[in-house]
Amino acid sequence: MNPILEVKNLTKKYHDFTLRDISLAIPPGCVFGIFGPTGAGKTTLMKLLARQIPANSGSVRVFGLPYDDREKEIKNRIGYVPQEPQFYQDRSVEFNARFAASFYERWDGSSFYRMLEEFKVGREKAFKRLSRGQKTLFAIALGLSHEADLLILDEPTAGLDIILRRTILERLRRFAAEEEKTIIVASHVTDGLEDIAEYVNFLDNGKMVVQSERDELLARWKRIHFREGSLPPVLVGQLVDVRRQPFSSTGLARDFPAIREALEAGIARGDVKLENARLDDILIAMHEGD
Amino acid sequence: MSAVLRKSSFFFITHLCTFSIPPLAMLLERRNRGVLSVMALWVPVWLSSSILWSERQESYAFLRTLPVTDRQIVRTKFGLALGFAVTYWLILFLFIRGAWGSTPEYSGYMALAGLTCAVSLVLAGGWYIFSWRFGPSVLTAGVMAFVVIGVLATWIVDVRRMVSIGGIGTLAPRWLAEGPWIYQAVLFAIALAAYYGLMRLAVRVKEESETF
Repeated sequence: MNPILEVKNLTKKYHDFTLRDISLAIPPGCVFGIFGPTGAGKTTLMKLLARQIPANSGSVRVFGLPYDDREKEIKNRIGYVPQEPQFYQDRSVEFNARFAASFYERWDGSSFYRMLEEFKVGREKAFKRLSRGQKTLFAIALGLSHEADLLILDEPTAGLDIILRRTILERLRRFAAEEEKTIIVASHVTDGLEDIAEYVNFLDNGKMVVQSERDELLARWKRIHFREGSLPPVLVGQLVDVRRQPFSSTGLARDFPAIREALEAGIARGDVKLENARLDDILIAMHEGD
Repeated sequence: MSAVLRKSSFFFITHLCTFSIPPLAMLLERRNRGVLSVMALWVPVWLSSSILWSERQESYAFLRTLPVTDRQIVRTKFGLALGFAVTYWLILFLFIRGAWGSTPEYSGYMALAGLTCAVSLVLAGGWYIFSWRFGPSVLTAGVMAFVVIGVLATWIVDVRRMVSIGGIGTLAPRWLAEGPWIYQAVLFAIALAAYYGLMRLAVRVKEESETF
């Protein structure tokens, strides 16, 4: 299957930061998560993917088309939600919506206004009077209303309360469930997003350090709870993020299939218990490991 | 692109109104025409100010998310400034004709109008590039400095004295004021060519710009 978005050796240099040599091939019809700590380069990468800033080198092809020749055509089919949405701040929500709608070939106004009502974003309100969360909701509604095939979202749940966050995640889940619709989402927190992201990528200090399917990553990493002394020290030495407690210590196994056999006796005795690792824990362990 | 054009043209239209309505009233009331004689000098300031205000209200970060290319935006903005530079010239032409159509000063005033409109056009292209390269806040400082320098220069030239000795039209070079009409046409063509060159440069600057 041809990738919906293909990136080759993408590099962007700033005086104090470099996003280095990123290559991606994103299949259609998936949710592609890009995670990493603050300052890792996620926003820079998302801007490059949505052609908001120029790259120093490398290429981006979307729907098999290069941005250089087909930017307008590509942007008609993508929805980009930046980390801090910038619109016409002094103008109303309605003005901004009409302005944006005039550029798109496809526009579903009724769906857009339904979403605004659902998100409780007033039409007549000046854009600058919206909260950060409302601005993001407006941008998401805009992205969903021109029948985009690809959504590029930078920290879409930042600044949202838990109810709105759930609403947004549900919307995104529905969007992704439609045939061939793809979402690329970047976030510094995995909260809620790990459930919908089928691919997990970890960006750290401008480099892509992990590219994996979520299920594959979760199968490789396991949290192990063990009674002190129940595991050979060599095995404990292979664990990361070890937290020692009086009765039961825990650690993360970074390659669980490789040590599974050595753990089986302990599991049988009840000295060792296994748990699925959380994505956050894996990413933190990777970050600290570096 | 018509949405960008409509939005940007608001400040150009309001500036044009403030430029043309007071002198029109003076002309119709047949009052002192001294002020009319300095109008041409104000075209670069008015056009620069139109660009400043429309750029300050622009949101290129928003535009970049929409299906429109930087090339289209640059062409629209440059087209708009060109259209208004020509409109300023036409207004000046009508005023000068109405006020001095049958006097010896007519050719001098017309030459000055042609010269200032040509300079305004090139200046407009420069302001756009300046804004896209350094951002609207730097543009504000640049245009404000230009306005202050413009006012000081006008004061130094001493408009009143110029009016009393034959009008501000004498500021235009003699070869342009007394030469054949083709000189002014060539002047406009040179300005247009420079403007086109600036537009091509502006596309590159805009595409590489990360200043929103």
